[in-house]
Amino acid sequence: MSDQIKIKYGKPVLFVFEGLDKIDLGQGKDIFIDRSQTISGFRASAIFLMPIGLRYTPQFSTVTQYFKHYSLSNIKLHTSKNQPYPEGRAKLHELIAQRIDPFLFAGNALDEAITASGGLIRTLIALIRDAAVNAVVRESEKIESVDVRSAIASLRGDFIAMLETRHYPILKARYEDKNLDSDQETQELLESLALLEYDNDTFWCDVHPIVLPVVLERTK
Amino acid sequence: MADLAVQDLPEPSNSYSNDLSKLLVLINSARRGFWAFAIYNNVVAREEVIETVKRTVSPLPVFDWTYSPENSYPASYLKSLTEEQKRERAVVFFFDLERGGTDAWKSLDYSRETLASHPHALIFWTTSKGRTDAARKAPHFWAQRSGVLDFTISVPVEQHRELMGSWAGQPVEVATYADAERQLRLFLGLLDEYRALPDAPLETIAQLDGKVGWLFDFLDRREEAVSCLEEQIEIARQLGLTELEAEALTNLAIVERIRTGRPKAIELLEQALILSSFPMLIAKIKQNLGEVIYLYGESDRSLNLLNEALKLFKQIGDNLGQANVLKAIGDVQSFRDEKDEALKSYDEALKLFKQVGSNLGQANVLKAIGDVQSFRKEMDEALKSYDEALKLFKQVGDNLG
Repeated sequence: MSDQIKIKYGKPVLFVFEGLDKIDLGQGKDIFIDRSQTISGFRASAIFLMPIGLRYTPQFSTVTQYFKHYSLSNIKLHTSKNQPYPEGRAKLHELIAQRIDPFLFAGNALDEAITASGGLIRTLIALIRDAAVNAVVRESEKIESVDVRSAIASLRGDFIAMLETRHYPILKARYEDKNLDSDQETQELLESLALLEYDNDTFWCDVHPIVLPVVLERTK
Repeated sequence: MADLAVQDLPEPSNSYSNDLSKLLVLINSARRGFWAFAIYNNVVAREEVIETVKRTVSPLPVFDWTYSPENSYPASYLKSLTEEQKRERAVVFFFDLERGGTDAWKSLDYSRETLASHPHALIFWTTSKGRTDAARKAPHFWAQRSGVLDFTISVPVEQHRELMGSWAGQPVEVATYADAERQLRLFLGLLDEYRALPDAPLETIAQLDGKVGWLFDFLDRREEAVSCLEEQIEIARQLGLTELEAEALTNLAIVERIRTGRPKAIELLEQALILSSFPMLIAKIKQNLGEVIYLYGESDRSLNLLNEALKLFKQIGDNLGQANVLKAIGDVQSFRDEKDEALKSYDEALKLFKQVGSNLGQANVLKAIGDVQSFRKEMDEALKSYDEALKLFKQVGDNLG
């Protein structure tokens, strides 16, 4: 097909395979590890989205033989040594300013949302959306800290519902050592976003700030 | 629709009023598609919220989708909408997805982009366990949620039980397929709640089994109907409730007649007839037995049974029962090639169905009249009868009819 397109339009072809990041790790191994030679055999360029957990499997070296891989990590707000990283915070401020007028936030509301997001854009947007709904319900013209805190509490409730007792000691350990590894539990926690992945000189992880108080409380 | 102002929201009546306000704000503000999860622990409260939302967002259309083994993927709600409805804003409530297990949840991940591509507010009703399942089994879909609204209620145990009891005691009243789905949802939810009680009242569970079984059968979900009715029989035997057992056997016979054939149905009805001493139930058993046996060459016995049933329904003053029996008598007469008598019985049945307002009953009789007219080559009259029947089947939402 790509040859025909090339001949007809005289342009190179790029296939984008979306949605493959949603499949289970087992199916991901079937496709990207067991059939890596086959799916990289197109006479055209191709972009595949793949499950992030694959990167931590022992067989990932097979993938790297056939594919150039890129990881879209979260924006860090601090370093792995717990030093503040203002560039990350500024980037998130900038991103939000493109979507919503900063004037609509009162006091520290936006900063609180950014801190709670852990640099995960999806969480940040969800928090701001929830906080905005809370503000409308309160008949307030601005999003205030109280709205953000209520949104944080709601999201924390979602994490509590999702996490199992066995996860808390693992989260505590990752909070302390920041190390990423390929074990099953760490992968589950990365997928559930209770653990967030960052990179600078090396890949590291930290507990999602929204769930951290619960982790510390339950591992006393 | 006009924008909702906060002061237009319904009066907060309980602990979930804040989440109800949030849900209405989300529905009102979102111009593009979104989804949210609504958590409940009480089906009565859930129905109350749904009614409030429907009332408040009107004239915005509201659609329901309920999980069933035959309709197990939420994205299938789009199949029931017209192209225009797909493009217009609407609210869609999804029920019982957690009955579908991992595959049903996982399908949300795979259909996320499809679900996001319509300007619909998709509200997934789940219990707390369902919320956990959604987060674990459909993480990509879950991650894009616009909210999790908490409609769980905390009421004193006695008050809760009183509320459940009053809803569980409601009769099954079905005018359309949508009614049947709504009532099935409610009674199934109540059944779950009763089963979870430490001292579950078996008789109430058996009564609910009967209602749920009947509704499953009405919706052509016969395997599930059999499972409920068998549980009802087991409990009735355990408690020594012979009338309830007879009623359950009768209802099971009605399901088995279509599912596995007539011999099983006859066996169950004969067992039920021995057990029952209630005139209404006896009438129903004789009616069903009469409807089944004429195809086995026993049309005389069939007509005798149906006439006995008719007499009993007349004595009780049950017009719907009489209408059903007259239709059955017409079927037997038509089978015996007594077409004039059949048409007379159908006419009487039609009058009674009209009197009680049963569109489905009228539709079935009109189709039967059309069949007789068609057999007699009275094609214009037959077409007229079929046309009227078709209109009524459409009103009821019976696609098979």
